[in-house]
Amino acid sequence: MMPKEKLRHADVATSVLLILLSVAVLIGASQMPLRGTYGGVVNVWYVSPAALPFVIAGGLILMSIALLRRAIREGGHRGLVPFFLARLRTLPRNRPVHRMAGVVALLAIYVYGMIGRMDYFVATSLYLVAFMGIFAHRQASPWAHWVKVLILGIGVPVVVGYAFREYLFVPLP
Amino acid sequence: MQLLEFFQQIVLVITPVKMLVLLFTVTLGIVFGALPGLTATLGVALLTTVTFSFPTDLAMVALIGIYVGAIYGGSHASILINIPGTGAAAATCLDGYPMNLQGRGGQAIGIATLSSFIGTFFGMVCVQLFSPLLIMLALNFTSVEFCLLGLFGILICGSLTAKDLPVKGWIAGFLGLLMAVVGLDPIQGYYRFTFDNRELFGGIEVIPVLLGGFAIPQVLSVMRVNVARTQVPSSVTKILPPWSLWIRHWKAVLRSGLVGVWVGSIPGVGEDVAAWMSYDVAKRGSKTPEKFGTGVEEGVIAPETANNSCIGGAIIPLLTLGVPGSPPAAMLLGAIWLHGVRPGPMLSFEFPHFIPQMAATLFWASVAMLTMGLLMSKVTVQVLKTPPALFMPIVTFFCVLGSYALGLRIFNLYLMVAFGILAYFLEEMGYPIAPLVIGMILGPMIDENLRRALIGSQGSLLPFVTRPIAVVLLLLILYSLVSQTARYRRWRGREKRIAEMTEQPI
Repeated sequence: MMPKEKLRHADVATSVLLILLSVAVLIGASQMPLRGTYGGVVNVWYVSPAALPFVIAGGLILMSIALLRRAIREGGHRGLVPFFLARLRTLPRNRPVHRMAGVVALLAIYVYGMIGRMDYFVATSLYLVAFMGIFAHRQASPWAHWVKVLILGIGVPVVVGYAFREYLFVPLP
Repeated sequence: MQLLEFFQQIVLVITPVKMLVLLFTVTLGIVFGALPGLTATLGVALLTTVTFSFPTDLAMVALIGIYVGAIYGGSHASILINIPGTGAAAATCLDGYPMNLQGRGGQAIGIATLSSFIGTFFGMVCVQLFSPLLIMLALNFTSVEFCLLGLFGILICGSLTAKDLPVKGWIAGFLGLLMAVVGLDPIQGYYRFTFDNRELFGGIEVIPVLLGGFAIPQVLSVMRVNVARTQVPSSVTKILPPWSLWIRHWKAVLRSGLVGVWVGSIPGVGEDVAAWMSYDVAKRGSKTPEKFGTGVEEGVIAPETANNSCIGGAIIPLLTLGVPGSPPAAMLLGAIWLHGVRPGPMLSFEFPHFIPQMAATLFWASVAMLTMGLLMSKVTVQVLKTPPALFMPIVTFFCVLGSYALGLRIFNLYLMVAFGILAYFLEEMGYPIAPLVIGMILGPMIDENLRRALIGSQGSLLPFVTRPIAVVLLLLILYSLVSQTARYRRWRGREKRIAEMTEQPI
């Protein structure tokens, strides 16, 4: 979790976003059948499918306002733009964020780009080998490192996938 | 009668196959719990996929096994490397690791193992004792009470799991509710918030959200730091603690068991809070509180008894009301649904043997955990040496398998990854994920019961304030909201100061 000072800056932004989301939910709910007949049911407001969405949106608006009030009281609105600009400026030097972005990118390529478009075992092996190859710390011998990565990267999906499909009857993507 | 049924189930529930499955899943659970980054919730979630094709009783044996094993397994990492394997074992670090530094690591693991066994056993006794009572109470529930109970569950979970502000926990719960209303409305068949996307017509499935919400943030957090290898002691010795220890600390054991069951029965709160609360209660009740944190045995007994007795506590509302008491129990509820069993007040009529079976399974799981825990302490030393960069991608691989296998939809994978990334940022900004998941699980119950209650009263809100149980629940909801406000806390502080001043001698 972020430090408290940064949290309040983020709270200002998220509470505004949440208020906008809640207004969108309210608009969406108001378009649901509130009266008249729908699906053979004579509608009154309390039978309407909009009943709970209205409660949720109302609650979210109230809670987001409370959060915004708290964040402003603790100075979260001061220096909001410089805060976000400073975070953007430090991005090129932020190694942990780079590592995280790398993990997200690999996962996104695997799930959105490869699964369903190529053989599942090939896709999974490529993903695992790439992930372990990039992020696992190198040992003294690069050969040992890559042998371990290849054994795990190819062996795990083959063994687990086979066991899931053949013995546990779990279908694979 | 209930007790007789329970003893019968203890004999009937276990067969050689089930015992093998139980030993395997408990072992797997201990490994899951011991590895930092892999949690009990994730373990239960992943095993739900595997056990989908099993008969219900065998699936329950496997799921309870991994649940019990993982909650206990976290203590190994806490004691040996001062990194809690799971959130539930975080409090164990405080005294477990100093014991290890003093050369008593083996003894600390032995104490944690026996405490966890006693805790699970205590929880099992409570499941058997209190479930019938709660069912009798729940049979008086109408739609009004179920709606308020669901709302109370989300709010109390939000209050207790929010690390920053309680309002963030409540917001997370309401976001979960919002996700629950997506899809076909169960009463009128109207498509809500589907944006004409066919994939959303059936609603958002719980399993991909659970896997994404709990696993992906964990993978990202661990990989952000990406330590090469954790420093682990080469071996542990002298595991079994002396019997006199339990005679000396019987009060702490009993107190921690009660704290665990009580916290477990509160919807969505879970083992982490139980362990911390029990540690705090033990410290306050001790004659030497200043020694806590330096490697005292009671500092290991209290959290480890409580986090495992919490399992029984969390299962009580799950079985009797259909409201999970902790995040892994939420996952267990999803698995029970998948097997066609609907937990709630009618459970003991529709499936009369189910509750005694679950209690008996807990009993055998505690025995398996004791056996494997004592045998495995040397193995976990080796397991803990695995670099995170090797097992984290395998975790995501299992998440992909799990998300796909239940719904057989590629869309679930997309949802799991997208939600996982969102959950990471939400957690970073102090929004807990547990109330969001609880909101998603309890959403349909709240939706249907709110509208049924209003249909019954023809739109009048009077039943919400005139039915006795509803009034109690409404007061609890109001208290859970008001007690988190700054004004209430200031008032409580002033009251406390006045009380202290009046106690001082003149």
